[in-house]
Amino acid sequence: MKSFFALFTESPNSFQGQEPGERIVLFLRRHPFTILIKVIGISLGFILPIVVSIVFINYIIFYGFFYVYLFVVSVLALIAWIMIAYTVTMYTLDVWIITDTRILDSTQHGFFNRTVSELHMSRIQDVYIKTEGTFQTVIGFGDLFIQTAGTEERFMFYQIPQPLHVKDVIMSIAFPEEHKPTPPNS
Amino acid sequence: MLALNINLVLLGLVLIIVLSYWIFVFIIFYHLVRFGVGTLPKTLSAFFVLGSLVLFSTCVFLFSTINFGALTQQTLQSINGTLQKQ
Repeated sequence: MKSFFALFTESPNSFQGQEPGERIVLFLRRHPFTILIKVIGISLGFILPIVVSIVFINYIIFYGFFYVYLFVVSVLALIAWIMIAYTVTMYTLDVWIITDTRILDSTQHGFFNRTVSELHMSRIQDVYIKTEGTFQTVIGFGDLFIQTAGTEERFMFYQIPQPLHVKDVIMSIAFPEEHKPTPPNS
Repeated sequence: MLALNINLVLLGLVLIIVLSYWIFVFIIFYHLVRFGVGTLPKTLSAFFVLGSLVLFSTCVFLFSTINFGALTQQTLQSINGTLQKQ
């Protein structure tokens, strides 16, 4: 029982496939703002029909449909709840892990479609960030791209918080002689 | 006999919907616990299952309060009332 509740207590991050002695430097998810927008959208889709139906509430009560109405609302809430849960699950399972030796990108494209790719620090050639739009600039999140050797595909981090700091951290690990990491929020 | 068949079909449909819902809940719970890194996915999975349980119970309770025998009568009354107003 104690071990079950240990699932919810803070512990140092570890992941499947972690090598002995490998240290996690950064653990990243998309910026919470990106999920907040989706959750608000779904919630509005649920709340709007209820707000509209309140206009007809007298009619609903007069003809004895009040319990039917409550049941329909509860079913709508159930649908909204499961849609939010799915969205949050996809958000939670999309992670980027930066360790002292490599970068791991785990992306969930639906329940049964998942890609995990990794890149060793020695293969990094160039790192650059892209912040575009009002929200990204004001709130402080953006995309980060890692160019690897040869014709290999770029490694991409989407909508991560503080991309400049992340870039500095990656550069300081990949090229320790030339780069020193800047503190976050700078 | 026909009414019984319709009831059976409806019951089957409700069972399929309920079963699909709980399978979906389980898949989300499993993914969060199995593939999630850190404590956040585990906490979210517990919160989500608890919320699903509460909402599902509410749905079942509200469904049980509906008087289906009187529903047809009420629907006819409401239609007649609307037509008379027009």
